[in-house]
Amino acid sequence: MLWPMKRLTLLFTLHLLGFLFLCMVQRSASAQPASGDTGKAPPAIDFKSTVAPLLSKYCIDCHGGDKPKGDLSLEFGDPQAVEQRLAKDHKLFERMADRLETGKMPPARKLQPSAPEKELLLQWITKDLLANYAVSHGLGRVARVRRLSRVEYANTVRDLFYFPEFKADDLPPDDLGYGFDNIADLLSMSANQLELYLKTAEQTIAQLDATAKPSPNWAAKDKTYWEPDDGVFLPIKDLKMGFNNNQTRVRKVLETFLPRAYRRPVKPQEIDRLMAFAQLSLAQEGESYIRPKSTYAPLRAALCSPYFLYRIEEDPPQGTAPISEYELASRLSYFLWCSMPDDELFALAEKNELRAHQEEQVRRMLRSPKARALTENFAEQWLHLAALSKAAPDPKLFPNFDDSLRQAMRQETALFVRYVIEQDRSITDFLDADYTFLNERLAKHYGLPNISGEEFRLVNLDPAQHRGGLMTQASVLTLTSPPTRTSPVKRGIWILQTLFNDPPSPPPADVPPLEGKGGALSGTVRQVLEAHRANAQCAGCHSKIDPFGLALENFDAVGVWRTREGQATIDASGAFADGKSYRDLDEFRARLKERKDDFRKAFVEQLLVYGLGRGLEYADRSAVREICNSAAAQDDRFSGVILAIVQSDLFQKRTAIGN
Amino acid sequence: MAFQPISRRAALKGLGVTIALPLLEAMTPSARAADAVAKTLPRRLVFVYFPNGVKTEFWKSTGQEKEFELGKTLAALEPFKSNMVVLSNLADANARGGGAHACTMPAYLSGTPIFKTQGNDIRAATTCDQLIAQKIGDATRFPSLELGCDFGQQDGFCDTGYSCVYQTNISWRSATTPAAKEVNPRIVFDRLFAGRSAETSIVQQQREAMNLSILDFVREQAKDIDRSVGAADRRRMDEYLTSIRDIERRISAPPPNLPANAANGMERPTRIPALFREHFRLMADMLVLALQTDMTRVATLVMGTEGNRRAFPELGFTEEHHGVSHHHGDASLIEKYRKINEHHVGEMAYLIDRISKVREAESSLLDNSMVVYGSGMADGNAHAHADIPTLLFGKGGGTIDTGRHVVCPTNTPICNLWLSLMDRMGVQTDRFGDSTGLLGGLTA
Repeated sequence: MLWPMKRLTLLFTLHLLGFLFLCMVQRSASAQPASGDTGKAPPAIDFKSTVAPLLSKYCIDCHGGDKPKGDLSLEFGDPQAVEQRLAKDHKLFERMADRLETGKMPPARKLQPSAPEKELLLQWITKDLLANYAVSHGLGRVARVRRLSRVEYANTVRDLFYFPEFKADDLPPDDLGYGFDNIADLLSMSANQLELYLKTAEQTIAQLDATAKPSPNWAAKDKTYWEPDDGVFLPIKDLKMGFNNNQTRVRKVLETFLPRAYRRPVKPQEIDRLMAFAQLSLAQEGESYIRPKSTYAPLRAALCSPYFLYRIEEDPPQGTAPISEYELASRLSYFLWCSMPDDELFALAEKNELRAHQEEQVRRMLRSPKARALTENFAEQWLHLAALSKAAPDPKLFPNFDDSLRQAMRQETALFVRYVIEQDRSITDFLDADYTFLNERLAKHYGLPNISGEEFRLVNLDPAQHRGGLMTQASVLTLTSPPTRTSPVKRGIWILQTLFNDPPSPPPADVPPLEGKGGALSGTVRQVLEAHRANAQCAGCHSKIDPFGLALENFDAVGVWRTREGQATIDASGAFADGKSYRDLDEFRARLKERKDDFRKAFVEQLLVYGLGRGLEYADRSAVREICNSAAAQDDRFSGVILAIVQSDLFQKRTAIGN
Repeated sequence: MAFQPISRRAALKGLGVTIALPLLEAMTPSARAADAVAKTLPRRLVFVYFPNGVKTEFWKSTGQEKEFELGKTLAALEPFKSNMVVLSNLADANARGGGAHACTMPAYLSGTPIFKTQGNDIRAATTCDQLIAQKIGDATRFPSLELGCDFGQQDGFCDTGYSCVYQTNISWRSATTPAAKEVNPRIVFDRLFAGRSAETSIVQQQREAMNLSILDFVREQAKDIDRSVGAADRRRMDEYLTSIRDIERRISAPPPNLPANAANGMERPTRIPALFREHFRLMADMLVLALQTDMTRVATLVMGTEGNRRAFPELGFTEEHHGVSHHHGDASLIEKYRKINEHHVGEMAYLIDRISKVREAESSLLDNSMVVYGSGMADGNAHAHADIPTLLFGKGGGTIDTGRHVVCPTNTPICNLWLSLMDRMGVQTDRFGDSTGLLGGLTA
């Protein structure tokens, strides 16, 4: 009863403040009262009298008329036209706010808005447009109900039964969004999919065996107090109490199993309901398809339950509030392990002590072998490493390339990423490092002597070897190359996309390839690209992309160091769009390290997308900034980045719909 | 990867060139009743999609109406000339936009613009095959089948600014739920035929009884969740509840005429073949069996997802499809582009051949079907969406006059064709997507 009063007072105060500050800020998003179901606030700034004149004065000169610059017209006849444009592409308005905020627009040589004018435009874009749009479209919330991805499902089944490994290859792969396969809005369900869950459940339960041993790697600790019963591991203390009858035994198994399967405490009625399956199964004992184990039917049913197949979180009644401890356990475990919480996390959640111990728990989780999911799932997707399996270097030009080299390339990157995580190195090692992992095959490929055998090992890199960091690894250099030559464009796009989360616009459909009509390059790749950039139409994007790829020209299409391309000496110099330049690869790497703030932000953003299962929206930016500051204060150590994310409100809290 | 063609002869042993026992014919009590049966034979609608457009001058047919010559690319379809309608000047205008390859497939069968997003808040539109399935699907074990020969991109980013979900899914149950295609032939085989033989049926019946109990159980839970979530989050549980209903229908109401051995001698595939031809033919064979046994009446079969980068080493070159489609006038790339187009057309001829050899009463399965072969992309080099390649096979139960080249008015929405096909499938509506009316010219 107190809070509506408080809200009114707050609103009044804000109103007053807004009035004082040039009447610009009339309401704040955080104090916005919900109006109707959508929670959409009426626009605070009048478009016609206030915004339109500013757009007209500062923008429409270029972004208007018949041929607006960049094919972007900001000539909106009325607020409805703005709404339509917003509904079609709200990201456009994010870019507008960015350009305005960073002073990229209007360009320096043009008439500049005053500070209050700029602020007013920003308020209009970010509050009236973007914030309202996000609320009415339910953006910026972690999904209330989110299906496990194929990988999450497989890992969860594995850990639920303490299998050493488990694959669910019959399930269809999940569609990618933002480069990742765990985006909530893309994880749909169909009869075909559910049918495969039914089938997998049947096959999984059929594998259970009362003589099973927990996976030596991952359940070693559990083994001391868990013993299998009916193929399900029970705490030894429960087993020791003995069971009067089968009914009690089955119930005990389910009481242990079900909270783990549903990842939350279960009510006695939920156990009762599943016990019905035990009856059914007992009645059918002896039938060929059901193992004579009365627990198996209930287990099979539980594996098809929406409480197992979906991650479900409760909304707070209103506003923003911390998620429950069990929900936090799942957010942590799916983020860091791509699987269900383990017994320690559950135990802390049960005592309501997980949040209080989350830092030490995160550190423990990062040390666990299960954290390899961050390499195998997150990093593989972040770096597009799956594309390496499709790389097809021309065997005539690159006779050394074969599947074992391909595997070695992938292994180097995987081990390198894993090392950064396990040794808690700085994430700037991804940009440049004086070490990598090699075996004989790859070392020879790189021209490094004295490394023999198939085993990979940590190798210190000499500056003379010009290697260090992800983009000098053969995996990346190969997956970004067409079959016959290098592609500085693809390499540049890869760097912009993965290391800076700043992908360029797509090319028009009819851009010719660098090879002319004869199918051969007229000069070096670099020369042909220079000619391409001379075309003003192409220069816009390519002056942004090419400098990131040209520096890597010393590496051929399979990542071998070279100093010549045909008869020509390699020139690996370049200049960025902002005017900074580099003479060679080594200087380029130094330049990249100078951009560690940009890299940190990009890395945080991509980890967040993966961790939250959704794309980031404008309203997330202040949180990203805070996370970055916090990570920087931890010297960019991997654990520091993870902790900064985990401790952020984005990860800790939920917002009710319409808030 | 080494290519190891599996023996198709082995896989299809017993299937033979002609399928001897069309079920619907088996249903026919006597020749006297044949006429009555012919009138009640169901119509079938199949969309076969190929990606990355065509080299238009090789594709285009010349002449009009009954006096026409098939384009060079279509040579393999010459034997079926009298069973097809070549349609020119149809357009997929909604595929235009920043992400040509992203928008083309979902816009193709929906005629609706696709919302640009990497993942949050995806929105396409219900496609015509799914509308039909929702209307008439209750009559068959599967309201529709969605098949394909590749899953779509599995790494990185698809078309800039668009989630890969658009680029991989041609069929959409609703604006937010794709009807994902099945690519693994073994899973399709099991879905269609598992337990349909005498020796497996007892196990299968027990399995189904158990699964029905499980479905009852999970339905209660899903309804509880559904009640507790707001409207914005409800669609996930709606999908789940719909899936439960669909499976129950599969289990409980198989068509009465499904025989013990519906697979008709086809062996269970064991893996996804590496070569396109092997893969497509397995899918095509199963599709024909499904249509023949009336397990479904609506299907989509995607040869490759838009922007597909499959290489065809069996054609003697290593360049991938999408790269070749952007040939920029290069003669050697155009030649490869043409070869890929022809390769696809050749496999389409295989499918039509199979369908045409299935007897149904006094007619053939093809006579009672409408099989569209097309792409939402015309010239792949330019990402053009006007005059998209469109062929229509079959007589639609006597409602289509074949053996003609119908030249429509320029930029006729392809949705006019879809509206006409929906009409023939029993879905009458005034408008669909960007349609402007029924397509004139399907009857002479």
